[in-house]
Amino acid sequence: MMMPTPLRLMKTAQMAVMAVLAVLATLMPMPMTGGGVAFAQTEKITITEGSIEPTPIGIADFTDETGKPGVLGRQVAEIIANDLNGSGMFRSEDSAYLIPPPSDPSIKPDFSEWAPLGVKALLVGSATENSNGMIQIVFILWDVVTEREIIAGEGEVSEVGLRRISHQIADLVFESWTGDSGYFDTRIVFVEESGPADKRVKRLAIMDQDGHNPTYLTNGSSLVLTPRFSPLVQEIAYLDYFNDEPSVYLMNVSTGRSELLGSFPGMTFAPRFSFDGKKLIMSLAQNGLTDIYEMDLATQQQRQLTNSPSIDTSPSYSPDGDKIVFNSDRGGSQQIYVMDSNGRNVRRISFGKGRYATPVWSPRGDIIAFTKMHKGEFFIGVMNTDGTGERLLARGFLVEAPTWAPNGRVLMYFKQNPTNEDGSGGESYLYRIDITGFNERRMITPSFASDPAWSPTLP
Amino acid sequence: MTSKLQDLTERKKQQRRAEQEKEKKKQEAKAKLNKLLEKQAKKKQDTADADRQEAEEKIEDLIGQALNTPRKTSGALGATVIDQLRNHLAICWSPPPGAAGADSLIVDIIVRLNNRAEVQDVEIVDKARMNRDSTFKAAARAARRAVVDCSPLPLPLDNHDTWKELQFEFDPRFITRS
Repeated sequence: MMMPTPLRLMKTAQMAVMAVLAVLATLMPMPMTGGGVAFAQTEKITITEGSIEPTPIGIADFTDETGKPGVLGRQVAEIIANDLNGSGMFRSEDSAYLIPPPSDPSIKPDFSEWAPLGVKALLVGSATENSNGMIQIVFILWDVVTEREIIAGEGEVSEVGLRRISHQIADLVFESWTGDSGYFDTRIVFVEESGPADKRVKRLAIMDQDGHNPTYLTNGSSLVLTPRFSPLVQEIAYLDYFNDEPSVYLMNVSTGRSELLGSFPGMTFAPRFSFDGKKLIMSLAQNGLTDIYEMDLATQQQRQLTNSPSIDTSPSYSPDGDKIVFNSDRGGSQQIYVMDSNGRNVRRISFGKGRYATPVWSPRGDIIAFTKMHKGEFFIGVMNTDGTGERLLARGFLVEAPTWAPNGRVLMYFKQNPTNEDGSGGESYLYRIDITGFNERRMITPSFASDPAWSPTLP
Repeated sequence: MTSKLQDLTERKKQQRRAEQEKEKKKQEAKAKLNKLLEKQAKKKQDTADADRQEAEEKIEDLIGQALNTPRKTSGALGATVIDQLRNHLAICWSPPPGAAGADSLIVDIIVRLNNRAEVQDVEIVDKARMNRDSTFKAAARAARRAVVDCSPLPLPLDNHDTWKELQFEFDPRFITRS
């Protein structure tokens, strides 16, 4: 059970003073120069070129009661640096630890010490134990160039909550600097695999998005597949093959309790939530046909959306719920199609070489992630919702099942590379990559892992 | 036993490598600090030069007033100066990449400069949006950071009146093109 950590933003004295100065500045007339007539240049100069690169940031170890970097403070700084570096949007400067941070975050840092490191942003803070045995966290993010305060906040946690509050600070740094929503205070559900190939045990497991705190959600007595998080609450839909019969289950992650969701004729595959969390969409194989169905979670009523002799599978809603992307072999080879949410107006959007599978609509609505197979290799890629602008981000012998971080900036998937020349052997692991195609990182899991699904931001 | 010894040797090697790495980082940081000191010294020299120029302009003004002929000013900035400004600011400007809706994140700012072309003040024109739209706020901060980071701007120092207040439009649509 995850407890929300109380992290609140501060309007510090410095921020208040700056606000007053800004008001005064608007009231004061501009100083006159030269012959006594102020001449304003009205020509507007448009700047259309810049650079796109990760922001160099200094993350100082948080200070303790003595005003010096402490053990807890170092942990906090490391968690935040790891989060921000993994986003591809920041690059923490390692040598920042050589510069002693201010003994208290309320003291304005001496920026001339940090600027030579090339850092544009600086995070300072403190982690001190109070009389209740709780840890008091204070942080301030500075713009090193303009010497302005960007955001400040404070919170109180037990030692158990230290990782979580650090992720929340990383989220605030990310959000205030990029203007985009953060995703560090989230979790990943996945299928954890152990044992030999002929006696494989597959269990549902959950961990923080940085791979910490893994725990099991099922005991491995039945085969579980394709877990999917609800975009709104801490609930997972998944397939459980009990007695070789696949059934769709819904699990409350906080209580660990599962309920069987209706019963379907034939075989069901790949259930996925709508973005409002009210419906599930899945494919259903019956009498040799595989079509797409949706299910209203409140009434458990099902509706058939496609009706074709082809195999239609892997459906995923657009964030506004108006469209559905899925893959189908109706045109001969497996390709990606988009249709209206009532099943009408089906049109193919993938036209590249190879076969396409598992399309997933980004939570931002702008792009679709997919798996592609071409010339014996697998790829994870993204394309615009009309199929243009295809970009391949990751490749391997087998890469599959992309899942989006809730802000639509980072993808996670699993990858398996064979250990034998004939293509056999090898185990699967989880990887993630940001949508610029850099920073592919392997996630550390207790054992082999597949089928990741990203949670929404934690409550 | 042998393997333990090997372990120890390996660990010692690793420690030594870590220490060497640490020392290397220290040296790098020192080098960066030295660079800053040099930069500061140069800035001081530049400031002294500019002070002298300011004094010369003041004298020119006084002479002009005494003779009732104002110091000459030119009109708009030339195309060459504007190109120089664009190239200069492109180096310092790093808008948040991939921000949703780059099309609508164009930021207008007014920059006030002293006669050494140093940025004195940056005003975000759309303050209301700055307060309500966090994505725009991040884009506006990046524009402000660019001009402050690039200060002083490459401008003809003898023509302060023509550029003491400049309006810039930072258009981040190049992000979606790349």
